[in-house]
Amino acid sequence: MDKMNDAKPWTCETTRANMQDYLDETLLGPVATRLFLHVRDCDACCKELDEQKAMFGMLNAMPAIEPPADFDEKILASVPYAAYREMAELRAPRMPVILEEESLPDFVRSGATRAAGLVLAAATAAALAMSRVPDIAVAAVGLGLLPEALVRVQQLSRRIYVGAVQRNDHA
Amino acid sequence: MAMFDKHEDLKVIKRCKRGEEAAFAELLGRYRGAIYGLCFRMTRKSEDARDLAQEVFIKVFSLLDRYDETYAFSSWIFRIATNHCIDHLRRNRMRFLSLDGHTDKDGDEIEFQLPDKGPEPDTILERSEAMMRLEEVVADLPPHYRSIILLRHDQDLSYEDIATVLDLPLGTVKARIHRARNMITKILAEREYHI
Repeated sequence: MDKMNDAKPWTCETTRANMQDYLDETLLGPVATRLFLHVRDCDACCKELDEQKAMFGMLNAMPAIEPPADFDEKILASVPYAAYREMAELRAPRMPVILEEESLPDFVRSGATRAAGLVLAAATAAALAMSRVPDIAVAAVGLGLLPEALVRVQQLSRRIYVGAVQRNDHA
Repeated sequence: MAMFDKHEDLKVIKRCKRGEEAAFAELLGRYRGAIYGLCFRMTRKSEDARDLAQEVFIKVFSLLDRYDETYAFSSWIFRIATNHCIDHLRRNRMRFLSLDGHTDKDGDEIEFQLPDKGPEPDTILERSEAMMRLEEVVADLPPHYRSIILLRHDQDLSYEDIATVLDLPLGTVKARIHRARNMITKILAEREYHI
């Protein structure tokens, strides 16, 4: 708190008004210097500053007070842990619907469909390689790979999403 | 705040909100001494301090969902503890010796509480005489001045942090701290205590 500008004379009263800020180290440099210079030459202010310093020092050095040994028990016994856990489940970010397994039709996810698709894709690709089918058959390769690709892309996306949520939680 | 790490607190609080028992114990461990110390120095009675500090933690731990994470947790818990202690002192108002029966510029009552019996004899032996006298004087300050002195010097909070804790303008905080220190100086002189 600067209660004195350079134009005015520095007095014992000004020193007293600024003494706490000086000890709090919140006085601007030039003002602190003027106070310091005054105190250096004024026995009364020097004595008062010493007394204030001693008081500040002791206030800052008040000893820590430890609570009794059984202090924690009552507190920790009162915490509604179960309620927090229930709330945490409700608060947990929900997986986007498109990443839920159920968002893909059952027949797409079924092992038989995916296996049949892979067989179809492999057979068509072989036939294409031997030029035994027209080029349009490449569509059958894509169609055969589609169920497996959908399932895998969904699994990968879900893993990425969960990882991102967990990283955010620990941040 | 000087002593408390806001980011570390937030990590622990997130675990508390998931219901992790160890996280509550950790959070309690971080603030146990500070909150108990504040309550003790506000009341000067170990039983009252214990009850008040436990009530503060029980309240905080049951209301964690309402804690606004944009503010430091330390500000929140110190605010609850300070208000709780002042409410307690008001409820159990002892005999007060009014200076002049009026209010100061902030509208706070100017009043001095009669000295309590003080700490237990065995504790007295452990403390230096000067510190004991100073603590006695701090304990005799009116509650609002006592709490602000404890937040500044005992808990080492900055003026800005105290303004957040007490929800007061920075200028009022500075003025109140200055006034509280002046009161301490005056009481020390009146009692001829040398520290």
